[in-house]
Amino acid sequence: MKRVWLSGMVLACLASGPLIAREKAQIAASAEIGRNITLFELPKGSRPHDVAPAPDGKIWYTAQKQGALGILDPATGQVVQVPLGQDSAPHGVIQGPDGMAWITDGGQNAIVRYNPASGKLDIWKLPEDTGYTNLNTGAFDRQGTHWFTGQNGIYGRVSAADGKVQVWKDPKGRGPYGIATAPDGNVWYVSLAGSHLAKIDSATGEISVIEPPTKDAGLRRVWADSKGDLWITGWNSGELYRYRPSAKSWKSWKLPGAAAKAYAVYVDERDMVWVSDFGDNSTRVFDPRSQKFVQRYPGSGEGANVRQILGRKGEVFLPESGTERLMVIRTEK
Amino acid sequence: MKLWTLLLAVLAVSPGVALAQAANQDGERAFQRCYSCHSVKKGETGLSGPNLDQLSKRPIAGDRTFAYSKAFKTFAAANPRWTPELLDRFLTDPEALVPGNQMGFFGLRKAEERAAIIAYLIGEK
Repeated sequence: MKRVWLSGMVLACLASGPLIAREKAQIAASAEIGRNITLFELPKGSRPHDVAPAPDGKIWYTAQKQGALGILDPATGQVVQVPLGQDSAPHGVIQGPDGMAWITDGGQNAIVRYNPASGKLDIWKLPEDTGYTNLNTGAFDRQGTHWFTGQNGIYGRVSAADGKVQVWKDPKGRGPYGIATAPDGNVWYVSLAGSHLAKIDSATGEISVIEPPTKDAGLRRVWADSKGDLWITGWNSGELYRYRPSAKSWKSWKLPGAAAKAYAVYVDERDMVWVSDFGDNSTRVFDPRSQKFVQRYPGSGEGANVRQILGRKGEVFLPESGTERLMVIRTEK
Repeated sequence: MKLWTLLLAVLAVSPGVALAQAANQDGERAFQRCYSCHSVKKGETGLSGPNLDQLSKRPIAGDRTFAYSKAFKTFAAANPRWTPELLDRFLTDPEALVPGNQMGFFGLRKAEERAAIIAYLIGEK
């Protein structure tokens, strides 16, 4: 079956104050490109980086090149882009426990929160003395505190209650990249340049550094499964790692493609592990039970570059920064 | 202000050491945009992007220790050296100049920021 929506621009400008987002909308072309796969064309020049499930079945993405938060309604194909500020260049987005979009905005060197109900933006700038930190990704601990990484060598937290922002230096310098929360509430991050895993003590802000089994693996992103095991990509090594905190043990699997470069990782509600491979221009699914890569989803075009993966029950989202498309895969039979 | 005017101001007109140092500080500050993936320190490797030391004095895609993408290899085959103009086009929109490259950086809007990085990377230090 092929289903396509095509249309011109639909304009919807909303503005009512300096911190209320000015939006504009369009309808994304979309198509069923395979069994259970829908492809959405996102706005040209948006360079979508990260993606997250939004309330009401919508999908958020960061339009890094256009300094905006994108909101896709997959039911209608409507895309709205919310400008985040003049210098904005957002990298990560996640949904907070408050139902709002929390954005790590490298361009503004700030954590930005977007309220989908009111359109209000909250902007928490990092302290001046941190300099440019190249903000990367965020995650929430059990107390609802937002933790974030900055690739220039920092990690930190912001509390929405009092707006207090705290920043710490990674002991190995530049590199802090992916960050995720395990089912027990612990927050972990990985360092790409530092090639280490770190467990954050959310009370003190101190970290414990854990080295992977492969030297200079280039740990890029991390995600936790339902049992608390951490799944981690090795950008330099082309490997998928599992770190089991309960046993402090590592296990690794080489990605099947030639010259593999493992970038994004996500574990769905079935505990299947999704990994994007820039070397192979594809996303693969790893089954921890059989310990085999069981599915391969090629990029929708050359150099698709899936930099992050996220989803919700029955759906996995693959944002392609290279083709400026979003692939939605339905996993339920 | 156009990029070339800005570059001339930074690279050619600055007669004294103090001005050169100021330009270098601006460049170092602007280079923080690139710092997480690139080093300008001779011999420093292992980052997710190539080393950028002596950038204009070597072929494009000329870090022999780095595994460049197919896109960059193709681009390098058609362009022998980075020039200020070429680097400005790249820093403005990397994907437009080198389609399919794997950088996690999609361009800088501010001309003065690009100029500072260009001066830092391929200007006189």
